[in-house]
Amino acid sequence: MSQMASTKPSSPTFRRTGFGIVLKEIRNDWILYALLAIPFVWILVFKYFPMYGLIMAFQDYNMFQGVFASPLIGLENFKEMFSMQDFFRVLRNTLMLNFMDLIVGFPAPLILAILLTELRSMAYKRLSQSILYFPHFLSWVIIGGLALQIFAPSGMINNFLATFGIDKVPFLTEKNHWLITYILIGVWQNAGWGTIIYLAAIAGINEELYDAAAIDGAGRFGRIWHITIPSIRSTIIILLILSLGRIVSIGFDRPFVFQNPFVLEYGEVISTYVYKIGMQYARYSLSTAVGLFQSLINIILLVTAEYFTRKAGERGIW
Amino acid sequence: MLKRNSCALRKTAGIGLAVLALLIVGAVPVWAQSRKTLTVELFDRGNLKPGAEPVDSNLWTRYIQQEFGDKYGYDVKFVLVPRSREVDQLNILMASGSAPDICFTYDRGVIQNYIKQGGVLDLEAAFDKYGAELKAFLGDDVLQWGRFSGKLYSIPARRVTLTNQGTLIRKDWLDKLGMKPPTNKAEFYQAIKAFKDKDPGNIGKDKIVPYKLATYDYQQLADSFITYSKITHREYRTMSWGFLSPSLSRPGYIEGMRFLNKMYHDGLISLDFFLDKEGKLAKEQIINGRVGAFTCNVGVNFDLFKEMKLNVPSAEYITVDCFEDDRGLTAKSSNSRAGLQIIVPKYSKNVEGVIKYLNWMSDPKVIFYLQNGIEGVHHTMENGLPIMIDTEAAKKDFYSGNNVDLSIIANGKFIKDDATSLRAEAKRFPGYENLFITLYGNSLKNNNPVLPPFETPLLNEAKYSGILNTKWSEWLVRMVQAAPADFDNVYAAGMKEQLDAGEKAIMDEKLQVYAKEFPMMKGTEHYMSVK
Amino acid sequence: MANRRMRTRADKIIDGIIVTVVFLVVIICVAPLFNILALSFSGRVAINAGRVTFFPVDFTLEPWKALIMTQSIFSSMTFTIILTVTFTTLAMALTICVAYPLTKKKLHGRNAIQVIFFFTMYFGGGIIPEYILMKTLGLTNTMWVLVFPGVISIFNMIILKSFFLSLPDSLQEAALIDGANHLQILMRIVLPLSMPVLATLSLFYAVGRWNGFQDALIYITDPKISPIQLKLYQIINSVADAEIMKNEGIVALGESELTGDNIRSACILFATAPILVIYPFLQRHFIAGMTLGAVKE
Repeated sequence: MSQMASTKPSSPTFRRTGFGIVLKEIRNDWILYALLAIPFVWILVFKYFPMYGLIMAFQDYNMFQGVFASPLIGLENFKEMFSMQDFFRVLRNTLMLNFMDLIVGFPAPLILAILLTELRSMAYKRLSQSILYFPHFLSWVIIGGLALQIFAPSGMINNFLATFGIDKVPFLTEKNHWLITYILIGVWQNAGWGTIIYLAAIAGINEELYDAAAIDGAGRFGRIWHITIPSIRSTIIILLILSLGRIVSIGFDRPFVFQNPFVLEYGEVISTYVYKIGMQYARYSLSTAVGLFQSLINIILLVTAEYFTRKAGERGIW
Repeated sequence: MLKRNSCALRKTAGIGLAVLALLIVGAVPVWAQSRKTLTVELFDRGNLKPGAEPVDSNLWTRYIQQEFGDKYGYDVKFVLVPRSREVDQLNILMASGSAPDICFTYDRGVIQNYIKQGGVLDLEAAFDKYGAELKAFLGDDVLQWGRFSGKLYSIPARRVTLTNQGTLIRKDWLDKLGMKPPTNKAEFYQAIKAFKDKDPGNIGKDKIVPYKLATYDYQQLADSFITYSKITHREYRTMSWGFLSPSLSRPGYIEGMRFLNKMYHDGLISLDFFLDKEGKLAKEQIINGRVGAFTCNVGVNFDLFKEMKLNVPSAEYITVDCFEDDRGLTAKSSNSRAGLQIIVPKYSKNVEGVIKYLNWMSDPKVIFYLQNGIEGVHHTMENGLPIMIDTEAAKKDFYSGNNVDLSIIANGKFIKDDATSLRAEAKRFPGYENLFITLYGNSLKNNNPVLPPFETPLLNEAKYSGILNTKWSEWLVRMVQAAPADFDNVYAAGMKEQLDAGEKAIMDEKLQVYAKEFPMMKGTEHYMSVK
Repeated sequence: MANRRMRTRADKIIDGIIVTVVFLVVIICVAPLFNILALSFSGRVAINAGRVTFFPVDFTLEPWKALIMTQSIFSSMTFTIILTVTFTTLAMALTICVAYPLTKKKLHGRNAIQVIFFFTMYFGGGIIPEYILMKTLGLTNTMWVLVFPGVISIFNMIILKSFFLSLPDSLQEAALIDGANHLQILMRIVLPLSMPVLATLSLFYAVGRWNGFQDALIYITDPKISPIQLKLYQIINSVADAEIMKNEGIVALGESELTGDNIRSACILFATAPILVIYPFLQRHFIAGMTLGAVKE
């Protein structure tokens, strides 16, 4: 093996093109390919093989004939999709909720992680961390129940306000109030858990950098601003690109649990809509079409985000 | 397999050990082949009592295997489907070719969809051959709901008690205010308004819930504004009617919505039931004696009265039947006798087994055993009515609901006949049996005739009804919460949206089907004239 | 890290503020926990009357007794632990197998491979083809149906890859020159340097598997291998189900002192406890990573 390693392919003595060279390089890197082999088979079997189901988007799918025998109808499903009033509402809501999540929810774990690292007492830090994770373990179904108890018109907060003669706040029953409640509950659930990745990144920062900064006379904020944030910048950017790339997809449970007829105007999103038309009304073709459209937009957004990141001189996710 | 074999062997006495060994070694495969496997859908409600046997393998399934399986030559296997996502899972099973021989669902739209796609077997031949007792048990008024385009694609279960709605009002509050039980809508309005204004229970004005609504419970009141005296037969047949398919297009319905709007702005009703998906809030309010009146399915909330009495000893409800229409009758939409619908997927090889199984089950003894268990162990008899034994041991066998899930041909507990079943049902609420029976009687009084279904499958209904039902609650919220001055506009907008979202398509289709199936009618006859 | 430095007065004030802010956030997070804890020890009447907030009312142990008496809960817990450990081990191994080669810029076909993996983050075949696949492979109603389909998270793979890339090249290059092969470099240099992120991703995988039940809902009907969250979900749903049953004319037999709320609260605490117990052990690796930071140039 050692003699292979010594023939470094990037060495300038080799020609850059030529089939033989490529083969040789592949042989040199055989371990890397071997590592990739099992995941590659996995992705073919479990991810690519079922993709034949996407054909449904172009079919009048018949459950009993299956994908291979159902009649093709071209772009009819997409036409129907664009002719539905609801579709644009749902698209707008998905973008709106995700965008607000991004603005409010994205910085929260970062700030919390920095606060945690700035804590002096290790015991206090560990205890706080463990507690901060707790909301992440509650399923949305349960959180929905709790939210009702707390924010409903006759819930805890409104009862409390009533004792001071303050009017009820329609946290869950008026669309703008609902929007804020929805976003803040999301922050509550995710901020603690989201710190983990940042804490891991911060843990990897070389401590000498801080010492050097301290010698240079940097204060508390100076150290955070000039050492911590730049050191974990790549982590932040990767997470940001990934969330931008998902701005048209949205989790199912959270909106589904929180939506109610008072706020459906804002609360119906693509995932819940696809579920309703697909699983509940069994209109698989239409729901596949909506899903496919969503994926396409996402991938376009992701590639765009990646492009601009690289243009700005940062390392993207590729 | 081994256990069952030896069991069968014991019955055919006189066979020695050598033969047993031979059977196990040699004959088992042959034996197994001669038996078919019958697969049956079963709801998994996830409500197993501690220490109980699994849902798909217990006292009852062993009984089914012994009494049906072994005698008719079938291995009966149950396929569990989680109750809460029953339709989703059924769709997946159907599409992947792995649905059991016996499938069922409550959703008629789902069934129409399967039929449309050619995925359901016609059961007529097997039913004629093996279904005599089943036919007698269900009756034609149930079976007609299983026919589509003249073919028996589905076998509906028999609804034992019709789950209609009735209204209850606080007698102690009425008495305190010196009011008589309301006999019409105006009096009802005055009564609940007085509850709110005068607080007869001294519970604090902001705590009073004058008229408690739950998801569909406003419909009886709203429906009573429909101009029944003028409705034609064609309108009655082609507009969406009935319990679960509200429609803004019914003549007169707008006034019902306006009335709800007024009640809402007067603070007499609230729409908070849309948030309260588990009905927790409603329960809490009733238990704490805060609710003046409510409309509900017969029997619902009765289990709360005991606790309510602990909190407010004087609290007492009586039934009223006071939502009169333009004819002065308290008309109500009602359920048909048909409950869940059983279907057999097209790739099933066991149609005969399915009918034999259901036919076997329609024996009153079988149904009684499945629903009530063994006398002395699970129930005692009292005036010909089974009273369930309330011990931990007995409860372990009857994890709630499951037994009715097994006896799929009857929706509800069936004992001898409908009247006896009703009396048995009332026994569930000791101390409130009479209230239950009066309420049940009220809920059936002046019923609109239950329409037999169209023979032709309604494709647009299958396609759009889901979306329409989901949107309905949104429209309702908008209309009820609209500023009174703005109400007419909101109503018109909602109506247009509803028509665009599929109701127009459904109605047009129904009009066509109507013309086809009632060629002798002009359509302008009064709705009561022909069934 | 700040411990060694002198603390100024301003520092102390800032510390005070930070401690307070974190404390407030912690309180907000922990309040529902207390509510759930209180509910799990409260009686039915008090709960139905809405009298329980942060302390038990009509103290009872019934919900916990019922939970412990449900034997299937313990077998379900054991199964879920085995499942989670298996899943996390396989998932980490495979994720490393993908992430490491993709950090090698000179790897032929690297971009194509990346695109192939990446694509699946956004496109899937939908539930029916997936169900048919699992059935054909004979995976339904086995543990493996909960392991294989999600065993590589592309999201986690990208995080890992970007962490690998942030490691200094010099050590690896030196090792290559010394004659080490890629596997040796991965095992001896890259992985030991990546402990914080490996611990993080293991936690992500483990918690994701522990909390997930949507797949089990579709693929698992055998109660013997139903994960704990599925059990929990069913218990929660049986409350709503009680209402449905009445409408279906089904007698909800056997009222006990239990109510949906207290039993479900007990279940939540029971199901969440293992992860909260395990976390401190993983946390050690975050700290281990910190000291390793010094190894870097």
